[in-house]
Amino acid sequence: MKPKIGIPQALLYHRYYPAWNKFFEELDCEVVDSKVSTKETVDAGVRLAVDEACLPVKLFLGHVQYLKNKVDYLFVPRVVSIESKEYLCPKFMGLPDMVRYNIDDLPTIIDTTLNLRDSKINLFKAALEVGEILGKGIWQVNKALWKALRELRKYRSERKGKINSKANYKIGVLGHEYIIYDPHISMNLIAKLRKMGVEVITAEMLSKPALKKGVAHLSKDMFWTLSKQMLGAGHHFFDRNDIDGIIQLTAFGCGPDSLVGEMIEREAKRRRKQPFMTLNLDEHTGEAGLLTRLEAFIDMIKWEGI
Amino acid sequence: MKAGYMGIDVGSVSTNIAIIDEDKDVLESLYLRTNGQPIRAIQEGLMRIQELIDIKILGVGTTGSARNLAGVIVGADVIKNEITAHAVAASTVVKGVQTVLEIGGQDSKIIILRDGIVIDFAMNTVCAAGTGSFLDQQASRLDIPIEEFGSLALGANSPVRIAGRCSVFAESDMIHKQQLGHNLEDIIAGLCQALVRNYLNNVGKGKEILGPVVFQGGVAANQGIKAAFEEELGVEVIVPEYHNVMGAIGSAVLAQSAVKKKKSTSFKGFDTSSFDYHVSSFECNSCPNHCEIINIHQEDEIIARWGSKCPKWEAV
Repeated sequence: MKPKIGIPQALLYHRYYPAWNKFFEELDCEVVDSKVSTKETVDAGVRLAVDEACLPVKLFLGHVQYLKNKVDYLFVPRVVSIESKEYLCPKFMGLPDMVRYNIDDLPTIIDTTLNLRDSKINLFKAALEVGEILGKGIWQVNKALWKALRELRKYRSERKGKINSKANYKIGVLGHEYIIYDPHISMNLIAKLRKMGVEVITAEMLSKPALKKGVAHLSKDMFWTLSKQMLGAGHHFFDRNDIDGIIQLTAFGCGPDSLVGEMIEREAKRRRKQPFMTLNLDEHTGEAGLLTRLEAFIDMIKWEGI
Repeated sequence: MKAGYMGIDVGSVSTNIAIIDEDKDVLESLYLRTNGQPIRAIQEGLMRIQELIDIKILGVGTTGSARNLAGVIVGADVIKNEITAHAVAASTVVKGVQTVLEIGGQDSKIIILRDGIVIDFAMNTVCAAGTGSFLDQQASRLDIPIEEFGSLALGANSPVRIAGRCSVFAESDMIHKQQLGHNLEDIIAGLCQALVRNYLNNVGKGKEILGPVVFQGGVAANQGIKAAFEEELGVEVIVPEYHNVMGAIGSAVLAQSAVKKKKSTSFKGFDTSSFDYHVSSFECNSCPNHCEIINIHQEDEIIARWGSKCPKWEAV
C-alpha cells in the first residue's frame, strides 16, 4: 500500500502545492490534502495555538489537526530561506516545532530543513533527505524533483495569464498569498471584488522583473522574501496608471506586515494617486464590516460626484 | 399630493426615514429607535410617515447595517452602504464639503472628499468608545437626559482629563473624578474632549482634515462634542439641520438617481406596514462551515434568504 502524505492546505501550500503534490506522487505516495479551510479548521487552530501566533499559523495548526489521523506522514518542512541572501518570516522556521508542541498524537513529521540562502543546491539535498525518510533512491528523487519543478513553472505561468483585461476597473490586492488565496479567512475577497465587476491583480500575477523594479529604490535591501514581494508589488501598482485602487489585506499578529504594511501605506499616502485601504483580519472579523468597507471602496472608485 | 423620494437608514440604534423632493430638499424626516427589532422599526416608520405626509413615492433607497433586510421589505431601488450614503448626503447639503465626521450609535466614520469626490474613508474597527451607545449609557448613569448632556459640557470652567482610549476605562475614570469632587460640567466636558481625541487618533488617523467640516450622525446633536472638535481641529464644524437622518437623506438622493436610470420604482407601497414579516433561521450542516441561514418571510412566503458562504441556499 502506498504511504499517505498529509499536506496541510495553509501557508506555503498555496505557493508550492502543484510541485509538492507531483513530488510525492512521483515517489509512489498518496497525497492527502486537508481541504479548503472552514470555520472548523479555524476554530481548531485557535484552540490549539498559543495566543501570540498569527492567524495563518493558527489556521495551519487547524489543518494539521484535520489530517493527523488520516495519514502516515505529515509534510511540514522547516523552510528557512527560498531565495539567495534572504529569509522567510521566523514562523516558518519554527513551524515543525509549533506543530509538535501544540498537537498530540501526531504521525511522523517530515520536517526537512530547506535553506537556499547560500546555495540553490540545497534544494536537491533537502529532496534527497525527504527521499531517504520514505526509503527512495537518488534517481527516483532526482526525477521527482525535476518533474515537480516543471509543474511549478507551469503553475506560475498559468497564474500570470489570469488577468481579464476587459474589466472597467482594476484593483491591486496586496497581502500574503496564504491569506488572499484562502477563501475562508479572506472571506472570499477576490471573488467578491470580481462579482462587483472589478478585476483583481495580485503580486502572484506580476513578472519577476516588475517586482524587482518595485523594490529597486529601497535604501537597504529587504531580507524577508515574501514581504519584499509585497513591497515590490505595492510600488509596481503605485507606478501603474491603469490600477484604480489598492487594497491591502493583513492578518492580525503578522510581524513583517506590521512593518512592511505600514511602509506601503505611508507611500500610498505620500503619492496620493490611487485610493488605498488596509483591511486587518483576525478570527473574529465580521463579514458585514468587511463588506461595508469593500462596497464603499468600490463606490469611491466608480463615483464621480453628484 | 406631493411626490418625492424616500431614504431609509436602519442602524444599530436608530431607524431613520427621510423624504426629499426633486430638488433634494427635505420634506419630512423621522428618527426612531430600532430597539433591536429592525422589521418592526421599518414598519412603524412607514406607518408614521404615511400619517405625517400625503406623498407619492417615486423611489426608495435603503442603507445602514440592516440595509438588505430593509431593502427586501420595502422594495428598494437602491441598497447602498452607509459610508457612500453619508458622503452623498453631506455633499448634497453642504456644497464643497471636504471632511465628513460621522458618529452614530455603534460606529463612527470619517470621509474625506475633494472636489465632490470621495478620496478616502475610515470606519472604527475594534472599539466603539465614543459612539452614541456609550454616551447614552453615561447619560443614564448620571441621570441626565441625553438631550441635555452636551449642552452641560459648554458650562465647564476647567474640563478634567479623562482617558478616552476605552469606554470601560473612561467610565471608571469618570467615577474616580466624581469621587474626588469635580463638578459634573467639568467631567462631561472632559469626556467630550477625550472622545474627540480618541476618534481623531483612531478613525481619523493620518487623514488630512480640511474645512468645510461637516459633523453628522446622532452624536452631532451633542454640543459638547462639537465644541471639542472645533477646539481640537481649529476650524468651524458645521452640524446640518437634519444631522441625525443624513444616511437616510443620502439614500433618498441615491434612489433619485437610480430611478432616473431604471425609469420606475420597485417600492411595494405603504401597505408593507400591514403585512406580517418574520424571520426564521437554521444552521446548514452540509459542510463544516455551519453557515447560519436566515429566511425572511412575508406572510407565509419566503422573500429573501442570506447568510450562506456558498450558492446552495441562494435561490428562494
